[in-house]
Amino acid sequence: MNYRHYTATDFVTDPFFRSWILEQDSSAAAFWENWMKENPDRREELDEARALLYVLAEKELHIETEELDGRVTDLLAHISGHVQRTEMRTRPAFYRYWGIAASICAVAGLGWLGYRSMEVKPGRADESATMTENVAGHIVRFNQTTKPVTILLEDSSVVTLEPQSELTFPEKFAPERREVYLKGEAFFQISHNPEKPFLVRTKELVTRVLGTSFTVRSFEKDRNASVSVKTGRVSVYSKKDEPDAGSPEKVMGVVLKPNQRVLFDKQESRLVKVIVDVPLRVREIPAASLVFDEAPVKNVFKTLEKEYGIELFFNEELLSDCQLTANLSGLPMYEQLDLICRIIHAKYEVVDGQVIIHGEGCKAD
Amino acid sequence: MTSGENSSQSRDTRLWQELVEGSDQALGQLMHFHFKALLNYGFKFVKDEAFVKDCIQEVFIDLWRSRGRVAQPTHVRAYLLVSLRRKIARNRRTMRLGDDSLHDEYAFSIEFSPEWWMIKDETLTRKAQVVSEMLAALPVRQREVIYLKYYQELSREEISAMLNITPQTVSNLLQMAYGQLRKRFSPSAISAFFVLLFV
Repeated sequence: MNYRHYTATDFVTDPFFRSWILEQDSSAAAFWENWMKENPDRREELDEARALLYVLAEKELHIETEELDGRVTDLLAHISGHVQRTEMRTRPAFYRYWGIAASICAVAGLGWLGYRSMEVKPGRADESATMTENVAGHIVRFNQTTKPVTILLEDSSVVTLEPQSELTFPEKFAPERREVYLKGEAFFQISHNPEKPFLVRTKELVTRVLGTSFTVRSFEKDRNASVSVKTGRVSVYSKKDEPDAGSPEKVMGVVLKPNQRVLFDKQESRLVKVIVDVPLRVREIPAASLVFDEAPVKNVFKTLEKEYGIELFFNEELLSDCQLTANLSGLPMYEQLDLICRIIHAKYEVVDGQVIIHGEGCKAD
Repeated sequence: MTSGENSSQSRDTRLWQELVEGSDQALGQLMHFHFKALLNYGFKFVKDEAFVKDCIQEVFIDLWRSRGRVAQPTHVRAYLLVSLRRKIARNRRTMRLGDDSLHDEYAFSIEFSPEWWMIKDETLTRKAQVVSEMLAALPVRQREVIYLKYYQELSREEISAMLNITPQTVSNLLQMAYGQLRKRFSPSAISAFFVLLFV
């Protein structure tokens, strides 16, 4: 795809560009930031498109995966009960089922459904960027370019295939599951379908999801294979632990939340849960709320937990006297943690995809 | 029209048919697919996320109740958007949100703050502010047409069906928007980009 000839209006309507701005998609962001560097003369055009989209979008309105799932469940519960509850019609209907939504998210919380998935135009220029083969009802796409290419699957799921990577998928998914095979690296945005789990198979790992977005990396040359999650939850297990078709529920594996990543050491054949190198905000916290003035450090940690969807553990009693005055806005997570820990004389470590704070407390004496 | 729009439209059409046949799952999927676009649109009328979300839910409840009676729309999203617009207007009146609610339903306001997007680049912030001022200076209808075309990516025909005006009027509104901008702002403030938007 030659973006060099794009005008601002072309950018505004380009799905990959839109996913950068509107969905704050990390792989799109990486691509476009790099593109801007390489094409400084096109910056003006690009910025005008960005400006218009930002303004029209206003702010990123929060509808978290879990809440959206909860809303749909509410809707279905409501209409199924409707026959017996005709009185609903006459009262101003305000449905706030937060409690329900929260309890459902544990069960059905794997949903991520792309508004973006319908914006992606299948094929397009990407078609020529990949070698396509058709083998016995399976399509094999190999990305021989130096840039990621986008593949739209028949269920509206979107796969961003990195260079030198190969994706094999059936022309038509089986009725009970959606299954693809990956060599190399790809980012997946899976359309939500609880009836039909989506499985990404690599040589060593199986990643199973219902609907979410995540990256799988499994190059032959690497020591590690990995899966990292952007939204939703996925479960990952090693291929040799794969359950039989008879008992799909009992799986020995790990469950990943956003910003967590699992590494599979090929030699030692074990799974290790870590935090991604650059955690992305799962929720935008206004800059003003990241400026702390003698705030209890507990509140600061709670804010970061919300911002990154990562759990932080600390001894609340021990740190109860610690206060923080700092501006954490605009800093990546690890720099935020460094700064806090320097101020309250603590240390942190990452264990099993979580952050643990070790501090002695801040008593004046 | 691109194939992507085709595939999402044919998906919508299929879901709609399943809905008419009584599939509540199809209803749920339609809500899932369109929630974000609807939320963004509704927010233009009322700056209250919780209120808009409730209105969206009601739109789908209404749709379920009337599924046997509604004709298949050619563009499902446009249909949902217009249903939401009506729902918001009605609920505002009953809820008495704002005193001049009758006029309010036409208030299509777009606000901008660099903080919402954590924009740190000053050139970009300035650009966005100019765009935002330009949009704010336009009559409401013109602003909405620009939004529907460039944010919701609706075609001229879809916008015309939504707003109950002819496709030619849609084009005229876009043209007029450009004329207004030219009158109000110095030529240098109107970037090449805005010229492109309206031709």
